[in-house]
Amino acid sequence: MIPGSENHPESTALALVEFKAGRFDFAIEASGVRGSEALPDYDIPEIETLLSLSEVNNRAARLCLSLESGGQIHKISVAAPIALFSLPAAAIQPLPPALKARCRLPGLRALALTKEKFILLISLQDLLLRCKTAWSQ
Amino acid sequence: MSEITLDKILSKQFTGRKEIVNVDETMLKLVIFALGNDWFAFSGKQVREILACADIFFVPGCPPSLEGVINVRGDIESVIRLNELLQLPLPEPGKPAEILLSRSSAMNSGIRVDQVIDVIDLPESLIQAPPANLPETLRPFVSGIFPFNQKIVTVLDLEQIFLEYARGLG
Repeated sequence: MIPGSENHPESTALALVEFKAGRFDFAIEASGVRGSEALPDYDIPEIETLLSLSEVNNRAARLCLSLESGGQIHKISVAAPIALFSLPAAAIQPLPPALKARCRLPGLRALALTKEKFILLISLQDLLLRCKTAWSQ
Repeated sequence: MSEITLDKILSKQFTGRKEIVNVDETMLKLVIFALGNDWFAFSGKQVREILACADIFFVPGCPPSLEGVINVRGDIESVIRLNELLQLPLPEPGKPAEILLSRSSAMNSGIRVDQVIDVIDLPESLIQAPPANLPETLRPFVSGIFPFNQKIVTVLDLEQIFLEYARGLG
């Protein structure tokens, strides 16, 4: 667990870990993120692959994000930097019906609107399921 | 030659006026818009707002007809285009557009149109049944036609459009 994410002071805010994939801003719930570290010396799945994005940012330095589920740790590679931040609940909105019906981005659960940008909120469970599938291949 | 009398003149004017003014006629509010060279209309009841084209944020994983989302005073709305569904030529990239924030019982969404032509109140009786030669692809979505400014305007059934869109058409 990333320090501070478990006892967030704002009850109406959600702690998230934000990262870039392709040219998009994504975030996942911080409660399932155990930490980040340098890439290990073995292959781990890239976030862009898990999200079925064709663009991989190879120029950026990459980090290993450790996700925890059911006592197991799953490691994925993301482009640096990553950021822990909290988002007021009011900024988080469910997917508009057209997106819910037609968008095929794996795990897309909600959208957030900040002053500067849109953030795509991904379900950690779905991402972990894809991690397991990627590892088993 | 028949004699012109004041009574005849007044009678003619009264008859003429009766043809124009019919207070019992049901009026429909319609939003007329252009997609390419064709003019279409939605019921005004189903259009919440007309917006100048805002910055559309592309969301990966969407079909080309789902252009993305926009920020409408802090609310996130999707923007779709109907060209694929209605099998019309695609708009030229960078061409100015407007967005109709529309709603049906199936879903809400912004709809990108090339231009809003007018918002009118039209007597219901002026809407004619869809013509027999209407392309098969348009048939499920057309509820009628009417003439307006030397053009034929096709009235679209937004309920059906959103229903089919959500099912994966277009």
